[in-house]
Amino acid sequence: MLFNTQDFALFFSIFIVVYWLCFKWGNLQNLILLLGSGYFYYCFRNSLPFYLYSLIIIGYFSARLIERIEEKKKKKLLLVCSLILIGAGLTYTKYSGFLFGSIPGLSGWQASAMHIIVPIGISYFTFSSIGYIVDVYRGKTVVERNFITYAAYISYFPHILSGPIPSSATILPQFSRKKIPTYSEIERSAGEIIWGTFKKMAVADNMVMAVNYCFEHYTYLNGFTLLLGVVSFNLYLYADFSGYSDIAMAISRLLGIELTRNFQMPFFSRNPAEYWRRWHTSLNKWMTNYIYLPMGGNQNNKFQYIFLILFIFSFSGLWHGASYNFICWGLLNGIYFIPYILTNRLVRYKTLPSPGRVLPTLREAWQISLTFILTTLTRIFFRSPDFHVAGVLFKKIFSTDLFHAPMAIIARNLWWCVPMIALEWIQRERKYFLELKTDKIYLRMILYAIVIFVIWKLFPRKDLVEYYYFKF
Amino acid sequence: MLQGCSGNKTAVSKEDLAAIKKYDEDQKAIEKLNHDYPTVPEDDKIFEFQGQNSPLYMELKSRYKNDFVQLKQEIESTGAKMVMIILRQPESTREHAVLNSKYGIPFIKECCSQLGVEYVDLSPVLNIQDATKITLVPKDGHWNQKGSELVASLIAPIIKKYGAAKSNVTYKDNERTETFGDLPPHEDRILDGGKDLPYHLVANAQGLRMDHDIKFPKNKQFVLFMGGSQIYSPFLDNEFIATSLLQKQFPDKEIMNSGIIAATIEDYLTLWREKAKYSEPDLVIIQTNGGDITDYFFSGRNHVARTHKPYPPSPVEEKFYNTYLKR
Repeated sequence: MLFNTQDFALFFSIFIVVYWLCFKWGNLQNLILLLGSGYFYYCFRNSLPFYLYSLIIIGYFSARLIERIEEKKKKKLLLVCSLILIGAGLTYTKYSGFLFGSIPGLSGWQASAMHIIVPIGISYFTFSSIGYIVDVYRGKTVVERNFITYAAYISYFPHILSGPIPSSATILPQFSRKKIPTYSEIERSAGEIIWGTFKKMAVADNMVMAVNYCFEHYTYLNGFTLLLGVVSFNLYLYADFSGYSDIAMAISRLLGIELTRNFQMPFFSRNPAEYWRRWHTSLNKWMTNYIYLPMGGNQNNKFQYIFLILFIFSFSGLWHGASYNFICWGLLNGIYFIPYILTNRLVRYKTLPSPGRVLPTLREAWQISLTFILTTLTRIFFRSPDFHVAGVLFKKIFSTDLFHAPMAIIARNLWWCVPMIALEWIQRERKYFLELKTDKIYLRMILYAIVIFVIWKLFPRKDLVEYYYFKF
Repeated sequence: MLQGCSGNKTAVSKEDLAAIKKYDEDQKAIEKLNHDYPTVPEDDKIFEFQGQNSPLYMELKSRYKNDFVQLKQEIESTGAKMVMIILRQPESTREHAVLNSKYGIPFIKECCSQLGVEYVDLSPVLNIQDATKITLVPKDGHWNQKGSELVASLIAPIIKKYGAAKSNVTYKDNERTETFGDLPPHEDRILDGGKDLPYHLVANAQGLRMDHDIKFPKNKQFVLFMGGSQIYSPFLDNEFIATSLLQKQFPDKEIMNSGIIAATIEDYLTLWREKAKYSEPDLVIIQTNGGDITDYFFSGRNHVARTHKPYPPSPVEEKFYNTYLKR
């Protein structure tokens, strides 16, 4: 039941009516959320509701116990035990094959571990649970005593499959109140759903085939074609994942819960640090809060700081998938920070580029292009099935093979994302991309209707393509 | 004069309307048939319950033969040489189609012998190959690049052998259809058939799976391939399909690929009548296999036939369907 299907539209239409009708009773709304989320999750293949609810029970009681215990040592011990228990399922399903393969003598176990089904959304709801327990331990969030509320928070269907990974301090309290959106929130949500659907169905679904083609036929495609394929993949991934996140956030707002914004125009970033604050924001915030800051953050000396950055990015890579490719992807992203750190140029930009201007300055254009190229190249590791393929791609791209005419169909594929990038640049200072500063409601409706028409015209009408990040 | 024009326009328009009406009626009838008889039996299902001498298989064979006879007559009436190639991926990739080949291939050979059509059975060579080396298994059973090269190498001697074949029919430009194949002209797309095996499909202006257009008047021998997916070759880029490899090998000939996925002899016959004959081929190589006989089962036809006309079940088919396939 993907967000962009009739099944979901039907489910959500019924669900939202019942949910809104109960707006006076916050607890009842949570119960409805819990049931609806359970049904939503159950509809996916590779879903494991039993495991999800076991994790919820463990998380709930662990947090309650951690809150009750006064003695610091015991508290810490309980925290560690809870984290091990919660993380065990993720480690076993997602990483056992990788671990067995990496340990000499255990490679025989690897084959059987490869058949383990990774439950959909496991990385997300495991990280949500860990975040909550750690926050309770640190006293940053109040323990949730109502089991239904806590269960509704962890299994919440707008974020269970692909995030955004919620921060318990900001999201969980919203579950404890009566939830009903205002008109402007409903309109904003509608605009974001339309834009998210446009990115998924009109951009990503049209680009995906050419991307897959490049990575499938890398052996005989020339360097330039492969480079365009990698660029296409980066843009496709953004359209796919940010499209999903926009819809998730909008759906959640309709349910009266404001989630963390997961994407904030990452392609307009001026350095890698800004890029990573804007791309998959919720995961990066999680890493920052639970790993980076506890380990000292940028308060360390430069050497320790660099080491920490490399560690964080490798960990982020490992979160995405149990393979050396993902670790390399993370490492390379971390390595990009080194020259900036060593030259003290890791600027923390507080505004978007060129506020109030139509075009960026030349300096900004250079910074944006460089950041885009660097981050795009890391995608070779991210998308390639193994080291060998990634190696061939790098070799072809960084050789004279680059100086051949690209395949026209791969070059043309990039046109799909031009309207998306253009509109996001133009609208970058708005609350949401389809926001029109006008009081005339009919003008706003006309804009929405045009985008819906464009989606209908451009949607490739083939089998539905799952969101890429579902696999993580 | 104006009146004449107007009257003429009205007449054409009426014909068009009638055709549209007929088409709509046919589509509704197909829809109803697909609703009433949704199951398309797997290749060997027909033999699972009844043997090769069942009335049903006899009926399907007779349809195959009828179309074969007509196709042969129509191709040879142009002076072109017709050759059948029995071609299918190795048996190891087709668990559900072993009997299909076992019973079908001897019948096809018998038809060819009776009608005096030359045939070449490529299956013995292909069946002894390691399927993992020449096909895309486990994702799909169609040819990979190596398989395609092997197929091309097996077909090349046939083209060489009939290097002198020549058609005696030529069409004027205004008689000739715009397309000779069923692909959309100038198609340039990446497809993956839902199997995560993306490939680049290019069709020329004449709807054939090839990168260049066919020029008239002819100044070389034209070789037309008609067949199913074995000829069309899904999941391979144009440059790797057997007909492209043959084109490279025989630059002095025009190798034309009009392959259609999931097609049988009836589809080749209608394609020939409507479009393919206007390509003025000198040599027509038709790919077939046992599956082409069972593909005549009505529920399959209603799903994939290129005629887009309804195929109601014969009494024998209906009985079989109701007895073994109805859920």
